[in-house]
Amino acid sequence: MNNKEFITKLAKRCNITVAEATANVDAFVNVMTERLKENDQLNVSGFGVLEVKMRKERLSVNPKTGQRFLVPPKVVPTFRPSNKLKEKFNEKG
Amino acid sequence: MDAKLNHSDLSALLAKEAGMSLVKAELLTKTVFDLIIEGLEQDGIVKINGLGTFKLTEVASRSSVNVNTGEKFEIKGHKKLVFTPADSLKDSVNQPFAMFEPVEVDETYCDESDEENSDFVAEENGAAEEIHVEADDVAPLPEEEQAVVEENVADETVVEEVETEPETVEEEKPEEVLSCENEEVVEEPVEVLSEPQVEVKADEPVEPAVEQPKRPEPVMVHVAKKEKKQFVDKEKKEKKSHKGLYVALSVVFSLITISAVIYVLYITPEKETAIAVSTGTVVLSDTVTDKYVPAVNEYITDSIEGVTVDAVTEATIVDATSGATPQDKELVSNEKPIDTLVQEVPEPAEYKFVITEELASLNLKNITLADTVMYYADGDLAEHKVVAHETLTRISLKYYGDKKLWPYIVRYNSLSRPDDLSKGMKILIPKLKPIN
Repeated sequence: MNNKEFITKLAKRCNITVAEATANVDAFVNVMTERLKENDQLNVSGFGVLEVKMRKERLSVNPKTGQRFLVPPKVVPTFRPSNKLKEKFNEKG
Repeated sequence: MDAKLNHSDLSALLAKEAGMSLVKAELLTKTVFDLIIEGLEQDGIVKINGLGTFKLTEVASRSSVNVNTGEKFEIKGHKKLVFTPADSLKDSVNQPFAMFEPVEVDETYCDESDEENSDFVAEENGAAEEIHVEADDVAPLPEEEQAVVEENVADETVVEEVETEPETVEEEKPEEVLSCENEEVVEEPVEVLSEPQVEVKADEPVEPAVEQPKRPEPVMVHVAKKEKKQFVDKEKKEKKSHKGLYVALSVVFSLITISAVIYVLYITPEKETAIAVSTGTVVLSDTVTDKYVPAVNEYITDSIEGVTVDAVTEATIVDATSGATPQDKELVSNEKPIDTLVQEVPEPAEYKFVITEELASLNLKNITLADTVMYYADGDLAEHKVVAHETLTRISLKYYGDKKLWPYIVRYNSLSRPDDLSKGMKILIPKLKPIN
């Protein structure tokens, strides 16, 4: 399911136009992004947790050239699915 | 800020952001997450612009071990939900660290510097060893050889300083004189040749001639050499290294060849002049040139400095006492390879003290040209009464202002044990006048 399909379905369910749905989704994504930027943790029950994590700096080596690089620290957004969601997927498979 | 937001909080924020009612916002958020789950169930992947990709991946079953019991069990294959954030989300979240970029690390820097340092140290050590070995190398050689080597060095220095035609000429003279006294002379040179020595040997015969002339009194040299030899032997025991040996050999060889060349060049003029020497003392004839004197003096002073106190004293003792001992004769003869000119020359009436050149052979490493003039004794300067714990060097320093001139005092007083001055002893201090 790509973004277009997603928007279409969303519009159907909410009884809104695709344009509205697109705008709303963008607004929602913006909200989440802003929250994540602020190191907030987004708990969505039945779905999972969206949060940001700190990755420390590390040394990496290019196996071909043997060059060593110091990779700087960074913050990455992560998603942790809830147990409920995990079980749901594994019931079938 | 580090807050935990739940579904309702998100809805509220969305309502504010989009300017919609809270009910609508809640509906929207709920349907968004429901749709994501649906999409995952349906396709296993959901893409949302600006947020990222939710994807289900298969994890193969694998065997593992129960940590507590050690039993093996199998982790069954399952599906795993993976979220890959969109670039826009990643960048905006990572903004505080955006300025950093991977830097190549020059990890070898520290190690290399360390290695270099260690190398340097090693090299230094090696050099030191070589030096020691050089000394060692000299030791094992027969005394005469030693003398040769040292004198070679002396020759070199002389050559460097001045063009020394006259020098060599003069130098040979004393030797000749000695030879006059000793009849054995002719035979000895052969011995020198026959003695088993270093490869250099072939060149040696030539040198002794040059060297010996420099020393009027071989006995002193002899003793001094012995002393040095012992000293060197000690060193040898302490350190042995073949590398150093080779270096030393090469140095010796080069020196010998140089001296040989000098000798060859100047040997002819020497033959024409001859000097007479009386048994106890050496007399420099008037023919001594200006050039010669300073050169010899430097030579001498050098030697004096280098010699250990004991060696010097012993040497001088022997020198003073044994003017014409058989030892002396033998030495002279031995060291003389070339007995070319044994001519008799009238002995000069004047007594001239020539600085013992034997000392020069002892050590040339410490070269200081403090006194570059040769002196002879011209009457008494004073009579000195020895105080307790006084040494000849101190006396020399007192009267001449130069502690290196003490051998003159020894010679003038014919002291048998210059290193053992007794308190109250009376010593004549000669008035020294420079030759020339």
